[in-house]
Amino acid sequence: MAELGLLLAACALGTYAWRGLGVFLSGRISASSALFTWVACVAYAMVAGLVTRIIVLPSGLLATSLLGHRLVACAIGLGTYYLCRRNLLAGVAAGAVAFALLNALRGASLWP
Amino acid sequence: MLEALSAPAAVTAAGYLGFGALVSSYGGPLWVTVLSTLTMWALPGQLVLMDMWQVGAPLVAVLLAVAMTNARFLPMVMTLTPILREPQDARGRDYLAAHLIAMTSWAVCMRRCPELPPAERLPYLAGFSLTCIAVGMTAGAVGYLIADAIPPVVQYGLLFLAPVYFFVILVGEARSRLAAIALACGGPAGPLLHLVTPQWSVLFAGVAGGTLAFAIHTMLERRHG
Repeated sequence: MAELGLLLAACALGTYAWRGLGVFLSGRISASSALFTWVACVAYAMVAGLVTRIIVLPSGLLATSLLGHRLVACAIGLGTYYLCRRNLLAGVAAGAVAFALLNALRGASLWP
Repeated sequence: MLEALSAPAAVTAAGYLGFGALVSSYGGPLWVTVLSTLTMWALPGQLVLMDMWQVGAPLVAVLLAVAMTNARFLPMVMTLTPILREPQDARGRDYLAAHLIAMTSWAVCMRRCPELPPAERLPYLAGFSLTCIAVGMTAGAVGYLIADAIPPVVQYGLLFLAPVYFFVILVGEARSRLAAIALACGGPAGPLLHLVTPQWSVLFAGVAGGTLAFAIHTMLERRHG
């Protein structure tokens, strides 16, 4: 676990570095250059890639569920979000509940 | 303030509840769930950290992926800091305040702070963010601790919170053309590269998908302006 502590410390510093640099650069250079555009693209693409992978190729307990159920639950979450006038909480709750119910239909136990 | 807080706090709670459950399922310890929220305060980065730790990715790969995932803080802090800063302020305060800036607090403060007197802006950010961080730490711990004790059906729902949370945020809140292109390029790259190299897939998918998206975006800008 010492290794995980080192990993967390490195990641915390790597995260704060952007915030500190942001303060340092604020008022000095424009935030709309090509480099910032590329950085924004990579940041979006990286999170999108990770989330798609967790949905399509999950590990652990999620790996025992069906891909179709995961996709349907995501669609229900997104649909609810739009139906409730872009209410994020409603969308997330609907997606998670739908996924739980789909797994109940598949025979997952309702008791601990 | 309370009104401004309730929805973001509830969403934060949902996201971190799922994160805690996910860390527990990855076999990670409780302390990293709580401590990463305090020291990183960036749920996507925390998810990347624990996901890559779980597959045994090398430290350099994890650090690069987490740093690139959180690079969005640079433009966010650059744009919010001048609004928070009073002209006579020492910069030291700005460096502390920067740690409190994350996706939600940035969006809320960019909208609310210009309406407030300058002296109340930093306290607003601090009150808002510290509450959300406390909620995130608590929810993460709760999600972690209940993950094994609840019925399997609920476990499925809890573990699905984090992916569906980001799925809805990414697709629903991608209002710029740039964001939409980057999502379309990065989305398929994640699972595809995972088949090739699980340990480096998050980093490579981001750089490859992001660079492709940047090229497409630049091309469209030139053509249509």
